[in-house]
Amino acid sequence: MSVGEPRARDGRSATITLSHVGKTFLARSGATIALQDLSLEVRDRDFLSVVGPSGCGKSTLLALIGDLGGNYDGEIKVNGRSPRQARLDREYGIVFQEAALLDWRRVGENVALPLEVMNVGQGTRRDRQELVDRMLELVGLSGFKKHYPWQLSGGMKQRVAIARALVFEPHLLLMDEPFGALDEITRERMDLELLRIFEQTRTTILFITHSIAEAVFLSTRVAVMSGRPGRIVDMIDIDLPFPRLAETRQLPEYFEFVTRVRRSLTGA
Amino acid sequence: MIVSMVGNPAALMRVRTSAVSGLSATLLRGFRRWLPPLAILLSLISLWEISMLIWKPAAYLLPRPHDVFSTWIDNISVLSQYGLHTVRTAIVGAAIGGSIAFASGAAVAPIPWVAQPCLAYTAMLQATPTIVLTPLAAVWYGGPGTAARTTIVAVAVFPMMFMSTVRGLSMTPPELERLMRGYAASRTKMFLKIRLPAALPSILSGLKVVVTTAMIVAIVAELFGGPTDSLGAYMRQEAAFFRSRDVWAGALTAVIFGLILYLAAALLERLLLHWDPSVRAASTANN
Repeated sequence: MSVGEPRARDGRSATITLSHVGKTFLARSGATIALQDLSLEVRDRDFLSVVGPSGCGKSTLLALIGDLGGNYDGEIKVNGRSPRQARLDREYGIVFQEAALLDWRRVGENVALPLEVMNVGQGTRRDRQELVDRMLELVGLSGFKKHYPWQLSGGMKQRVAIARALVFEPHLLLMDEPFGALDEITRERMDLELLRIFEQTRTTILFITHSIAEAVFLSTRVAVMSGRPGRIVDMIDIDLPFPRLAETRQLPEYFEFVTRVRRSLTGA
Repeated sequence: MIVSMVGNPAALMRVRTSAVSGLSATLLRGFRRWLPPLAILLSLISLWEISMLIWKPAAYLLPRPHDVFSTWIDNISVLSQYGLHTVRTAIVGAAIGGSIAFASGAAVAPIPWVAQPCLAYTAMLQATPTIVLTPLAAVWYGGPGTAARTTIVAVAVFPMMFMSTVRGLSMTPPELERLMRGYAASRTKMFLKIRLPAALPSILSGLKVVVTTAMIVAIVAELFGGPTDSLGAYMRQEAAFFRSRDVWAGALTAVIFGLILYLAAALLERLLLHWDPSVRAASTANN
């Protein structure tokens, strides 16, 4: 799908750039500085995780990039555009912690929602159905197209949300603690699925999480955030080989990276 | 007390059900579901019948239930014809009032500072007995005709439908709003694909109240001057001659038609809201 101007796909150009971004929440009780002088670059085909304690502003960060968070200081560019323009140009898919499915629509119809809203796959129903089928296959839900959300488990709902975010084939996926509400076992399975999707679709992913292990396992790079005010305190390249499998979690290098991120987080 | 006594045989039946299968199991389940309410209704009617035998009031004060029933059977064709006349007024009035209420509710819902005062005023209108409009409506239309009665029904159902529309449209889950905003969705698509379906539970539960209200108001409007072939006028006329049995037979007809309207609305709700957790819970509890 071609949206707007041709994208620079030569190697590793920047997809998201944040320079000296600040965000202050004003309340009657006073001002809270959520983000201060935050700079970050997500490069093409990165899987970049932002990891930090609860309330450090990592979700605020993602909301600003997705133009869902109001005013801010500094500069944010998404594919070279302002967050607002990027949103209007439908440059990215977003997945939130809650699956946010439409209860009255079947799984297939939920996945087709962005296509209907954006008038993608111009008109012909078959084109749309093909896209939907492909996405459901990608997330391993081919047999559940006719099911309703209430018939699905938490993990399956989140898969539907991922399929929906990817169905219009954006080059960028923003994920705000997508597996935060799932149990440990389901979560680890979803991590594997997401890695498979990442390698298969070559989508650039910005991933927000508070799990160090998850961040290390998934990412090509991990940005460590500290809270009050939210800043990036460390940037760690995760040089673990792809494809990453369940066994990767047993590699000594994996544990080394986990330890490194943890040290950064605790400021040791 | 009564419920638990009636419930006991049902519990016994449950033990046996496991051994029975297929059709007979379904029949037994249906039996168990309908038995308690039916038993309660029959006991109440018997109680009425028995007290009549004890105290023997004059028949024009209170008829005996079986007399009412036989009168109803004897006049069933004319009563159902009158009933249909009333139902027609109720449905047309509810359709007109309901549509206007829905459209205006949908129009003001997105603007909170307009919607809030409107809600307060409709709540006041709801508390007003709309039936006081009957003589006024007769003046507007130059006499108590079908148009006047239909208008009264329309006015009477307006507040309920307006309130459930505004309330329903303000219940859009915030995460779905955020989702659609992320897609840069137009207002129209936002309304059709998110707000309206999310408002349906409220609107349809309002509709159940609307159809029953419409039926009541249609009959009362007929009491104040309906054509002779309508339920309200018939009951007034029979009452004037102290023919209580016929008045009660008319009331029974009204109850039956009112129930049919209510059940139709409830069925529509169940069909359209099969995805709604509360509707699903209710239908599985019943089966």
